[in-house]
Amino acid sequence: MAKLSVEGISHAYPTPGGAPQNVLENVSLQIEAGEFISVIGASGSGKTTLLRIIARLIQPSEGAILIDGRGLVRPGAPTSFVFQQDALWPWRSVLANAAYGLEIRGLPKAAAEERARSYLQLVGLGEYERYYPHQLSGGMRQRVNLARALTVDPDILLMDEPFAALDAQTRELMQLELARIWQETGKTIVFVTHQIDEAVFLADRVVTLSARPGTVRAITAIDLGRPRLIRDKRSDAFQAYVGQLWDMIESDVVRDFREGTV
Amino acid sequence: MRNWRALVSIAVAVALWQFIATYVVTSHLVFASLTAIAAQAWTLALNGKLWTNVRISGTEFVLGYAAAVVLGMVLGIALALSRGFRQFAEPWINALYATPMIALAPIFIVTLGIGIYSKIAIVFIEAFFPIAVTTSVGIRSTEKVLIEAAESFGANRLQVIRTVLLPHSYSFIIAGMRIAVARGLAGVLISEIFGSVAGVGNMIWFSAESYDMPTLFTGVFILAGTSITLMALLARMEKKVAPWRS
Repeated sequence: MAKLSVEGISHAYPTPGGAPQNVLENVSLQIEAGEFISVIGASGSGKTTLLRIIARLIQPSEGAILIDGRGLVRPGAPTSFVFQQDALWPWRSVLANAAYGLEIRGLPKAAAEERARSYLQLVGLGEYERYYPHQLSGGMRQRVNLARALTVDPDILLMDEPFAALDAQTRELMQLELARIWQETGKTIVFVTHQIDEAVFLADRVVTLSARPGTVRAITAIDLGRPRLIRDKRSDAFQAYVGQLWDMIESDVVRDFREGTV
Repeated sequence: MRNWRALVSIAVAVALWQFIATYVVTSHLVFASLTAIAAQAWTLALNGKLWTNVRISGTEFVLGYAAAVVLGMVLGIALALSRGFRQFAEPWINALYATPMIALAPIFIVTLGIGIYSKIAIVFIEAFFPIAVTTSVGIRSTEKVLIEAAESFGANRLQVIRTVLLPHSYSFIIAGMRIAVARGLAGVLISEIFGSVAGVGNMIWFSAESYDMPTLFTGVFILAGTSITLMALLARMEKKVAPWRS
């Protein structure tokens, strides 16, 4: 049985014009425990919407999300969500941010903070637990975001373009960090990104969505060894995957550009 | 000394006041020197009149203000969370906030008497609306992603209010409390002038009628000192609850 099963998800948003806009159409995926899945697609392919539906932050118009074969509706365990923007609570210290999920689940504060501390160490921020988010760099804030999501020990980590706001060097370091943490923790990860090289670098399989409405265009297994290094991005095998995936979404991207929707 | 210019500025003002009282406006019927004010304040403090008046006005202010903070927050939360209630109540709240409620002071005094209760009611009605409005604005301006982050951990509605919406609004609520300080103190003063048996406003009004300028200025300085102190305290609290905004 698949760890995470996306069953025939369709979703439409209301528009100012009146006719609802279809963003996802009949999307189905089977994701195994411990797998790293990247989801790519042109803007308008509904990849973020899909991730939010998996997290039960949005109710889909049709279809179901099964985790370990059970249909889930309410957000929370056994998934955690890592947001794209700054989603840390600015009035909470780094430690209090990281401990939040356990606090909500009723753990005593001291125990929650003890667990949070070990995950802050895992992301390399052990020294910064007393800091507040506004005192940290963008890369450090996203590490706190990651630690906060990991502290509740989720089975599945859902990540929505978590490195999009970072500069190129920080982004590459964070990719390495994430790959290491994924191998250490054995989590199942669904990672949405618009950077094709990032998707290939991290994933066991890359899911490519077509745009407007989003459907599964292809699922590509990335047959590269692990652990992967940044310089592996320049290898022929790596570049071949990037080229192949780029060709698939190129027509969507070009159409968006011509129609002025991006 | 970090803020020596402010100290110089205060020293200049004190000297100027003393100079005007001694050489320019020498009539004791309309002005008083700082030394005369200090001497009178000392006399009033010694014979106990000052404390009686401060205690009565202070009680009126504290009770009216505390009730306004608690109930203002409750109304603000209700306004922010229920769209239906907001659409129903907001026009009235905006209208009442904009109206100088102090005009109603005579009605409160007629209905509640010239004692402490009419003053508590007036302080309350003056301080209540700014707190309700800023609480509601603070909650509604919470970034959506901060709420969703809590929900993604399975937080229920009550937990979202307690751990996200309220902490986000604290600095807004304190801004409302600062507006409420000035309005509440004005409420004490004016309602005591309309009709009272004691209090700082009463003291100011009766000393004006008898051209007792040192007593009048003693009252004014007490009100000013109270207002300045409370404002400074709240400003510090505001910085403390929202350090990321400064």
